[in-house]
Amino acid sequence: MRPRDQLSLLWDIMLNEFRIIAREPGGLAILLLMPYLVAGGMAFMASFFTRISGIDFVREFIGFEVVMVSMIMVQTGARFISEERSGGRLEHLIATPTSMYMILFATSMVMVMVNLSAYLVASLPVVYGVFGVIGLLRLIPTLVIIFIGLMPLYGIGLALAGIVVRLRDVDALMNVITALLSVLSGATYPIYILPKWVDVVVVALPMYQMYQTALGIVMGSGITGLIYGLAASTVAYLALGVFTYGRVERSMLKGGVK
Amino acid sequence: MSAIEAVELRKRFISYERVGLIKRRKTVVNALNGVSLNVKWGEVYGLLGPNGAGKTTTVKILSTLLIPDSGFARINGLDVVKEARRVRGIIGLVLYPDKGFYSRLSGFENLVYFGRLYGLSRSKAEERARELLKLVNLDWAANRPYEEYSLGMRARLSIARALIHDPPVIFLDEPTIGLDPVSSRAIRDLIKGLKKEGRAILLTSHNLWEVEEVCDRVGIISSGRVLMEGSPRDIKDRLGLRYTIEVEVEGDSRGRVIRVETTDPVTELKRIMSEVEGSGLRIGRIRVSEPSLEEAYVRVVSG
Repeated sequence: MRPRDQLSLLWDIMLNEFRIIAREPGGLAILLLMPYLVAGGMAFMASFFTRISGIDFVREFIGFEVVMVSMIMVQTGARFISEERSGGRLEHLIATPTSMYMILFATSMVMVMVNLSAYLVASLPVVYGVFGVIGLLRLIPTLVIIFIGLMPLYGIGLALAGIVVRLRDVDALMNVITALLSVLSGATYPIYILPKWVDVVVVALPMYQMYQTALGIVMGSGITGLIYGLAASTVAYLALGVFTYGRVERSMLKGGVK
Repeated sequence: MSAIEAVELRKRFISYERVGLIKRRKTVVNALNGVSLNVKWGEVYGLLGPNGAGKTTTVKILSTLLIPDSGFARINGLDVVKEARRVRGIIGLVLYPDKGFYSRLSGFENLVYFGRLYGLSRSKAEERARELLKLVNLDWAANRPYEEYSLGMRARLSIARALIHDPPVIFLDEPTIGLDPVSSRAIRDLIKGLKKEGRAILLTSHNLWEVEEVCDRVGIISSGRVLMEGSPRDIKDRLGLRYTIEVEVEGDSRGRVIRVETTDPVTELKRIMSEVEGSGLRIGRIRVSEPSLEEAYVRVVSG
């Protein structure tokens, strides 16, 4: 297939995914409202102990935004495989001459775009309220950071897909992983109360780098060297995901799609 | 060259049985124990067998969805393991007639999407989807979401998907399961039409008279082995199944019926007719009942 045809196919797979998501608007509404509910709730609880400034609220808000889009992204690959399998579509997708990598990549790109749009729409009022127009301008580069940051998370998700195809109870697994990653993001939990070695894990995960970099940009305090770490983890985790998924597909073809 | 060729396919699955609260016991299931078959162009081959006999496993291996432990299979000369992607481009597949589509998308959108995945251009995929929806009599419901389709409509849409890229080889795994008689007949007519176009079709079904109606050759599979193969008539003849001849005789005071069971209906019928005519009586009605494939199937499977 020529590259032009491949791009056209990629676009059509994305369009199909957009169509499906657009017909389930409830999920989109939650994506927009959740950060307000959680960040607001946390700020409310914290207000019993100290005065919560607008900057504190932005910190919480961006932190939860990052955690939320990260969770969605980590779950995307595994959930896609799980849903396609239970809907009886997975074998029909594998049975087409189109590579599953292309299908997975296109569907994940849609989730990236939806996540970025939700992040932008949800953050605009808060950032404008605290920082004014300059805040809005700072929000734009954070979109690039979040886009880059979502890639390694998708890689982690693909690696998780390997576990998912072996297990029946995907939801239980995902709930455990979501809780774990939420703690390890460094955005919603006081990491300093955990053992020292956890710090290493936190820094090695892309959520922390994404959160700190995005926050640094919005606050106007620079992005430090975290961007290099983010780029490195993008390559590393994506490679891990692609490698793991290759093994998963091979194992599905050997043992059957159950 | 055969359209579909499978030689000595073997496949084992590992499964786990619960023993107690947490413990599991590993068991090995021999799904295929050396399945060999050949399907020619323009032929409908029926794979029959009880549940768990290995029909679906065979279909999945032939359609590149499973890798066999040993043996090999070719579709139009292409190896299903080494040349899987090329094989996928020339086969159509119906696996689960009641699912396998996106519920929020319409029948038309689903078909176009799979058409694109099978390598058709956007305009060609749309054109084929329209054609096929008409062929399977779903054009009136083309824009209805899949989730609103009845079981019969879903089965017909599955067949349309299997044909979207105009494949020369088609695998139909129980395509009429759970369908009403009218929908089943529509699908049987469709299969006959596809056969006339010269395509090779491998069909699995539990509906034996349906298989007898559409299949040129049949393979009876049990415990992962093809036990008997041939045309439905061949199989019945080889098993020595008996035809029933009923002749109503008129002309004497009260009509009577001569009933004979035989493996050679032509000779036997000639004998009865000459006997009746020789005794000055008339033949009112003749009925010859062929043994069903079901009898043959039960005989083969139960050993």
